[in-house]
Amino acid sequence: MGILLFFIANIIVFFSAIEISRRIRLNTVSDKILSVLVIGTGQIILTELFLGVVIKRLYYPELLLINALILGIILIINKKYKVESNYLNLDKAKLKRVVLDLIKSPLLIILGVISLVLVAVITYLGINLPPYGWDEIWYHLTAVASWYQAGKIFMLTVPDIWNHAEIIHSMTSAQLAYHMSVAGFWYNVYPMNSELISLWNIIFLGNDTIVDLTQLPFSIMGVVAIYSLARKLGLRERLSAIAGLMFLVTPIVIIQSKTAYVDITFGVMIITAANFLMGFMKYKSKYYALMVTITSGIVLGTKSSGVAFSILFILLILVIDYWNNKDEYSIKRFSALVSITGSLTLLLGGFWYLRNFYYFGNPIYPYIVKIGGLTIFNGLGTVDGLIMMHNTPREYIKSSNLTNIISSWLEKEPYYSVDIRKAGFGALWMIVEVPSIIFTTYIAVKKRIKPLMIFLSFFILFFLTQPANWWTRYTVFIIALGTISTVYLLDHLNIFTKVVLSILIAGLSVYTTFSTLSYLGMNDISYALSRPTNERTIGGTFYSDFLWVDKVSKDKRIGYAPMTFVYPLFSPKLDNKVYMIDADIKDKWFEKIDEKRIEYITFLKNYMYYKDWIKSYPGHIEKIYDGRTLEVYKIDRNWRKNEK
Amino acid sequence: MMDELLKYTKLIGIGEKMKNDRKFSIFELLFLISILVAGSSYFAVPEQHKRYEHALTVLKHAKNFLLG
Repeated sequence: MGILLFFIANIIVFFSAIEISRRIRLNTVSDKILSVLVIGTGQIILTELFLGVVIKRLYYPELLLINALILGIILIINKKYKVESNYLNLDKAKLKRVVLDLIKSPLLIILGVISLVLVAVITYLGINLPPYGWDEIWYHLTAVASWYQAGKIFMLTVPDIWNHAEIIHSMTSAQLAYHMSVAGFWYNVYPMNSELISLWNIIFLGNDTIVDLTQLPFSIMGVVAIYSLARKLGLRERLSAIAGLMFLVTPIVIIQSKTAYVDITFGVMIITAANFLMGFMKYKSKYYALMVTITSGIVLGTKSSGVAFSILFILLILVIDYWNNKDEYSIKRFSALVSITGSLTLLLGGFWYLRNFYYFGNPIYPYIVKIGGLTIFNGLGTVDGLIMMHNTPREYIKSSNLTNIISSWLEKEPYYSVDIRKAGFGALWMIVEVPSIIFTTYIAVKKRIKPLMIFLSFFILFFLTQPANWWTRYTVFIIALGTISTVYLLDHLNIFTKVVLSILIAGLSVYTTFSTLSYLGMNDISYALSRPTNERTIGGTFYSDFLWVDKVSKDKRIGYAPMTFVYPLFSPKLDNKVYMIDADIKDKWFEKIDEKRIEYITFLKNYMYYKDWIKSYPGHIEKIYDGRTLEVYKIDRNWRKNEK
Repeated sequence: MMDELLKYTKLIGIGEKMKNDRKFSIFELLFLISILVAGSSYFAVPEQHKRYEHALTVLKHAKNFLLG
């Protein structure tokens, strides 16, 4: 039943997105496909926000109904105000010619086969393994599971420590960072558009079977976006397709495609926005500016650094619009464009910042915002103090940013992982794509090829805009620059060099795919896959400290004192009710345990005072688990009743 | 050497194209040298060998898993 509902919901959103896209007149087939994907994503985000924040009934029947309503309304509108009936407007003869041309390229066939295998492997792993990335079981999916159970989007209960301003303001940034990483906090302050897509993948199925595949469709969307960008630079279909597929053959893309993280979604939306920006320049059509704005809104709501990117996109729209209409430009036009782009961007991504402003008086809480010496918004610390200093590899702290970028690209870390810092782009990037960027830039400047120079400038600007750009997972968008530069050279080199380059791309693609396998071993995936299907839970595979969750029967009320990984407590079917139980004094903590009728209470063994407190709990308790990091107690609620 | 190369490339249908193509210039030479430099810098990093060995082990596990 869940699968059928999920299928129907996706069909509804797909057709709604097509019907809305019919009104947005884009020039190419790939732009039209991207428009459907962007609008579909936007529709999921907005309908969930509406139900979860305004109506406070975010359940699957309501979600299905509201999307069906949208489809109905847009169908009626489209019928009344005629739109072109053949949306993609495919020329069959041209399509046949393109397909025949594509299959003639051995390099494209090799990349195509590798990509198909990769997508199949990622899908298999996504379906057969539980989520196990640190960030997803820490905060991404903890928020999603909590919203799913409550049927609304709300501020999760935070550990008591965050209610004591005098304590937190007396801490050093190192102490703050420590408490932030242990005592849940980020799920209430990060922008979470991508988590709404994860929720979409849970809400109809009623379990988390495919939640780890949330980013895979965005990786595939990245292929289309790069293809489309390359076409705008005048590259042939065959070469554009090669550039697109090279994106998939990047370790960080392969690995993160099987996670409910947000980096691929973020990076691909930036590439897509860049594609529409180039379209706005090329076709001078307002519809392209509209698509940049919608995509920019999704970027804004996906990651905090999206603030800088969305401002940049709006500025670039303004510059291009001025350039396109120099003779008749007016303040009125400028004001109208700023209002439309600003409000549409805020509509799609601004909610999370407004929420922060409402609760903390700072849209990007917990970060302090200063302009010059003036504090505009107060917070707990700077991005550097709270995040970067503690996440930067030690040898990177004293080196220049350029040295760090080159170190990461040379991949000085022996294995790949979801959160990898000193690697992630693979051999193809460093050996072929980086030199190609340099030589393509040379051609662009020497021959004054304007579109190419603008494309290169856009991506260099994006790269400089992104903080900590040595960290490959933050700069997934830059792969587009490398793959398109490479195929640009493939089109412009002499045939001998072209053959050498093609052989290198094919060989290094195979090598990169193969070396990415190191990631599979590092996370003991082969062990996890060898477990019986019903034992492939988070506790049964990667984090044995949560095995006890599988052993207690379902629908339990589980309480936890501040701890890092909360998501595993929900169980794969998300049927346990999970509550944060915290207080500054013991008796209050006990009161909260009883008030929520907690049946199992768990806490970290080495964090704060809960281990001592539990010993004097006034009721019948039994320690059922004493693990490496956690202790778990079963509370006999009937015993309390009998006592009374 | 160029003739040899032409002979082999003829096999994959580009020999004629090579004859008619523009000459191999300093630009192409510099590009190939840069790839060589980037490649040797990349594979000189000791961690690449560890990654490679690890991938081999994983492949063995995968083979055992698939073959039961």
